[in-house]
Amino acid sequence: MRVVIAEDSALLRDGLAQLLRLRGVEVAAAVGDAEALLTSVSEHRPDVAVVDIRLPPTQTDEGVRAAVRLRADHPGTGVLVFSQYVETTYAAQLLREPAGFGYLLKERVVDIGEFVDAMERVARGGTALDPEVVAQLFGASRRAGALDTLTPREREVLALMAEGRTNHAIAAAFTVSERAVEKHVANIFVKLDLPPSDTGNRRVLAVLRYLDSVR
Amino acid sequence: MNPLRAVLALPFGRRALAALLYGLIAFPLALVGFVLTLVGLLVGGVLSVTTLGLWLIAVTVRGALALGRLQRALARRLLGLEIEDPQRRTGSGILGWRRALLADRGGWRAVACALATPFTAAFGLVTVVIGYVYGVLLTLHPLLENWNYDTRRAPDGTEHRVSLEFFGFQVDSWPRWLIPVTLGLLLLATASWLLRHALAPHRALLTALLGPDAADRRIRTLEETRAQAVEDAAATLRRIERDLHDGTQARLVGLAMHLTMIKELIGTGASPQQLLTVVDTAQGNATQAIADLRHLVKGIHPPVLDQGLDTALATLAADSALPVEVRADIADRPSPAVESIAYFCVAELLANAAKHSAASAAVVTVTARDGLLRLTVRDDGRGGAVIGAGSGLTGLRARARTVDGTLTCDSPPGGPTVVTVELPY
Repeated sequence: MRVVIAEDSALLRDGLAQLLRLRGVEVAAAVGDAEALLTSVSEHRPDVAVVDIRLPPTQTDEGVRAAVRLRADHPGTGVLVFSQYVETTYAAQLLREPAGFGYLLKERVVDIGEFVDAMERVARGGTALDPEVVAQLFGASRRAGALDTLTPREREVLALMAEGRTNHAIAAAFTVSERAVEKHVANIFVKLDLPPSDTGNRRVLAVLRYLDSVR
Repeated sequence: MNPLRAVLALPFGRRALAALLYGLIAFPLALVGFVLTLVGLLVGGVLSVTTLGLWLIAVTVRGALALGRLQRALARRLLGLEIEDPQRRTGSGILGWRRALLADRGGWRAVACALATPFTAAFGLVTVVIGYVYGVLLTLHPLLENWNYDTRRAPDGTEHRVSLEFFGFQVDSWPRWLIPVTLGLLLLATASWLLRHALAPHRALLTALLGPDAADRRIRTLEETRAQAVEDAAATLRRIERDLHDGTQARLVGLAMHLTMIKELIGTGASPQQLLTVVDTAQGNATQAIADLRHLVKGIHPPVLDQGLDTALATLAADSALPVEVRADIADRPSPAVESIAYFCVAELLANAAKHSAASAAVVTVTARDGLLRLTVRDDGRGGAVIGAGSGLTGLRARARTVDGTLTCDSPPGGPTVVTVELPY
């Protein structure tokens, strides 16, 4: 797996690059601002771009805007937004196209195994959301009343689905059988009114559906 | 400018002519306002047993306000007299409109002004007549033979034209004409000065009755300082958030990363040397995070301030890049908010002295007694500090104003710079 890192703090940039290399990830470039990110992605065509939200010069949302452009210009490159805080509107904005997108808090690198897993999911076109991000999105959508019909367990399952986990992983997390998880997932699809389809990723659609209620 | 033009500029310069115009307009305008207001009030008063009277009075108040606005505008344009617009009350609906007008303090002050201005404006008109009209007539006296002179027939039958006569002394030919001409020139030369002084009561009246009253001004100051305080607090929070995000939090994430790295290295069986390098970095991050936090906490509320302003200032002086002498005389302790503002003022002023004024030493004096904290920071630098856009002093003054305090700066070029802050508590 090849990645490009955009992070303005040299300390974190070098630390992350070093850690990823230890895990056998190929770090094609590690840059400090959005401009350099866009050029190095064009140049290296990485599987994933890890993008900090706050980048110079204004330290506000340069990273998000760069991520939006990356996803338009390089659909083959997954984008993993990497931030110190959760910004629900940015997450919702980027999640309109959930395939190949992730949003993780920086402290998740502590479990580097999970972090690399998340990167791989994003590289394959999957989704990886930080539990914190999911919790905040859920909080927002609960206020909107979209998920009232779901049982607490179904909500938990949906949260893990939003993080990008497979049924297998969800079953392991709750120590239940995979069949039980499949049943929950099927219920969620019915309750959120998602018809079966061959190609459409209903899991992603389920996440999107409640994000719609947030917006 | 040649001498002739300089002399002419006295009575006929742009500002003098504007004042002259004002002197001419003010009285008729005031008189019209006076008559209308008086009639409105009297008729309205008589009719006040019916609602019609109240409406008439409300309209009169409204008219007085409009007149006041016109007078303010004229005074601003012609006299250069700036009077702030007073606060206006507004009511919704036509009844609310009437009620607001009848209860409007500013409106009734405008009515009082309308009733009083003719008397003060009259001084202006009289001065215009004396200074300018008589000035011109007397100066041109020898030329006015055909218009302004009486024809006298002497007992012997001869006729001659007499201009002025005082107690049998006839001013009718050179060199006697020099007297009125000199007098006229003197009047013209002093006309604008006379007019300015004659209009002084008028200006004072307009300022007192048409501007915001003391309560309005107080409200306005409070609104301003409150907005500043809110902005200041928001800016401080933003700064703290930035400092935490870019400093401490990033350091801690870095620390977590390095700990992860150590774990990974142990897993791969790395050499102790390799491990030690990462441990060193992690340690450095932890130490730096602690230092960052300490710095941040000091910026929010210096813990040493709990021991009193004098101790805090002494600590500040010891930390300063300059040799600083602190003279503190604190009879009774001010409130924590005032202490905090005083502390940050001194901190910033000392930093300014060290950074911008090339000073070699500074003296901080602080006295707190009878509900007033007074502090001065004096440095021997090059001076030239101003309170203005982009100056740190503006921010400090805004802070002082939030507790009704003041900040003044005396900093002539070449120094020394003395900044005085007074904070009531």
